[in-house]
Amino acid sequence: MTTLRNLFADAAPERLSAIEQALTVDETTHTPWYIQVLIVIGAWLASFFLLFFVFCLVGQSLLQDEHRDMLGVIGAVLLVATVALRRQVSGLFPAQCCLALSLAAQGMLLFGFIPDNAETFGWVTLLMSVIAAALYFLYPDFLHRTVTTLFAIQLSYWWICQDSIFGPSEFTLLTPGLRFLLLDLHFLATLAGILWCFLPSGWHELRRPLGYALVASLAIASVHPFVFGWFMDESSHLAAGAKVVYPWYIQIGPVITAAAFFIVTVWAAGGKPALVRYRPQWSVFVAFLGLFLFLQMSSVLLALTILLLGFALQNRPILGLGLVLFVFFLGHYYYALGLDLMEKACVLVLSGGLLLILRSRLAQLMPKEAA
Amino acid sequence: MAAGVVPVEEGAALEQRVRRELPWAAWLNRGLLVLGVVLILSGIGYFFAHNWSHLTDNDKLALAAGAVLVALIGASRLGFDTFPGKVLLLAASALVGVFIAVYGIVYESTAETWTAFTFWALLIFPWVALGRFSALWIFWVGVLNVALFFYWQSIVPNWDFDPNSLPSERWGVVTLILLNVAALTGREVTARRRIAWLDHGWSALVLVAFVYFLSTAQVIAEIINSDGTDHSLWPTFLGTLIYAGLAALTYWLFVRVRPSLPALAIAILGICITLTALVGRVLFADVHGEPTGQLLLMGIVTLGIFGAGVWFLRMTGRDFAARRKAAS
Repeated sequence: MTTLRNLFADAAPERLSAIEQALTVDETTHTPWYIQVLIVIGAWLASFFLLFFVFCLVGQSLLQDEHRDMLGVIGAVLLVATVALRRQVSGLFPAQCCLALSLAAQGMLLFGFIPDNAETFGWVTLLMSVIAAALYFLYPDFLHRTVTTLFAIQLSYWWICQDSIFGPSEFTLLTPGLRFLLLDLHFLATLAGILWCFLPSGWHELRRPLGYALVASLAIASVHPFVFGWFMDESSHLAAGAKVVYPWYIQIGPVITAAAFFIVTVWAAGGKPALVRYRPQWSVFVAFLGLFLFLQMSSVLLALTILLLGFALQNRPILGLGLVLFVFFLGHYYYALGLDLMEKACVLVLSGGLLLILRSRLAQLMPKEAA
Repeated sequence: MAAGVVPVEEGAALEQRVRRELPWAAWLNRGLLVLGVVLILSGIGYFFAHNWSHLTDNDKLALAAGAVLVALIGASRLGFDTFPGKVLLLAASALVGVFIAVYGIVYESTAETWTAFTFWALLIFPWVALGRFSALWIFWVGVLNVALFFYWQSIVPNWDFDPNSLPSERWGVVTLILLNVAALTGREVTARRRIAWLDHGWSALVLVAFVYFLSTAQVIAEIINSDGTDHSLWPTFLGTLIYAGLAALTYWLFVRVRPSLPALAIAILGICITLTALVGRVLFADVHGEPTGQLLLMGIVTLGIFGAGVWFLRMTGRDFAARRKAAS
């Protein structure tokens, strides 16, 4: 177990006490999480009433099509005012009120300037992406950055997949092949973004909201059966025994996932030195990854990537998300095998037994700390 | 890193070292063990599901009883004072419920659901007393709650959360609250007598959260559904008074007797929500047209109520810290 004292074993006693003092939580000024929850609930409830008050004040006529521009202008003014206000205040309570006001202002902005039809979905995505990017630097709030970035990334997903949501329309610019290619690129960019946000040591505070937004976005999109079609399609055909040949732009998704899992594992193991030092073990590991891909379990690999990242960073939200996704994807994998109850029983017992054998083998190879 | 006490390069090296020294082997070991056991147990479950229709009634009963016995024998072999032993005892207690359910299916029992849950609670009570495991005790309280809920559902089948339409619902919730208050009181009394196994903070928090969830929901239902007539005003008044009594009891217990800020925070959350609902009911009572002024007032009052709650918790937290400092 790593403690502060053995980490700084060589440090001078006065330096160690300075570090300990810097890390000590001041009980008189520190706000525990449960009080923060109370503050957040109160702020959102109050903001809800105040927003409805503003809404009643300006009148329902603004919701009519001919006055929508006016609502957009009010939204823009409210957004600018909220950003200015948020930069002045620092307490949790006013910060949460500002957050509620800012999100409402963005909603008014979108509602005011963009008509609600499929034709303008691209413009909504573009506008929200620009607003999210601008507010990321202008609005100094962790939750706000995470929420607006997540919303913008999600919109870009839905824009790519809008045919599967709204059905084919005359405004569609994407052919099915181009859509899958864009999905691959989006997936690749999301995974690369997650690695860029979390892997470098001493990761910058400013990247954290983006990292969380990317992880959450990846989780939402990957459980959505229509977005990442390969996760669902690949295993559902196993039962029939038919050899389904997918185009390369669908098959590339699992390979990207396996590559991301490999990168995170190498990073967690200590980076390049570990890669060079344990070359034979890494070859076995790559063979295991190949087996996962052969068994069409890339969705499980994705969950394992998030799980590993969460444990290596000792980050509970990411670890928890990884666990939930792992249970979801593993459960779905076994369900989608389409076997009868007896066959399923045999597969489950066999795979459970294999894991226990792997455990005992690993216990022999690894140091005794496990005990 | 530590308010600039450690240089950036040193911080990065420390971060790598911390990551290297994480309990990787233990994590992998436990993860593979849990996953392997879960997969094998699921497989066994599927095996019996596949063959269920081919099993005789005696086989089914023997299987259910056998599972209880296996868990119990495992617990006694591992020792009731070890963690795995306690977990197996908890599993045995849960499997008693499965046995009762199988028994009910095989003999097509016409007994009401609440009697089955009561019987379950009675059967496992000796293990709860002897097991000395707070999770098992909370599980037992949960079974009692379910039994009581089903008892009231047998009396009031059309539960609609409107105490004015079905007044018996009110008694149902009150008895559930009393049951959990009694469990909490019992827990606190035994904890004061230094019975260590029951003195885990989380078990008190679970009970406080459940008591406040039930009582807050009931008082809000009374407040919202009161239509201003004497017939509905009295229960609202009485309910609010009892709720205030519960708040006073919570204050006495978790500020004076056994200081606990998380328990107080749960109570304060319930009280703040109730007060907001009460103010809302008064303000929006006779609104004709747009409630513009009422909404503004509600916003301000909500800020005030929650602000006061947070202020109280912060002051109490500082008081607790000062008391701890003085004691040490």
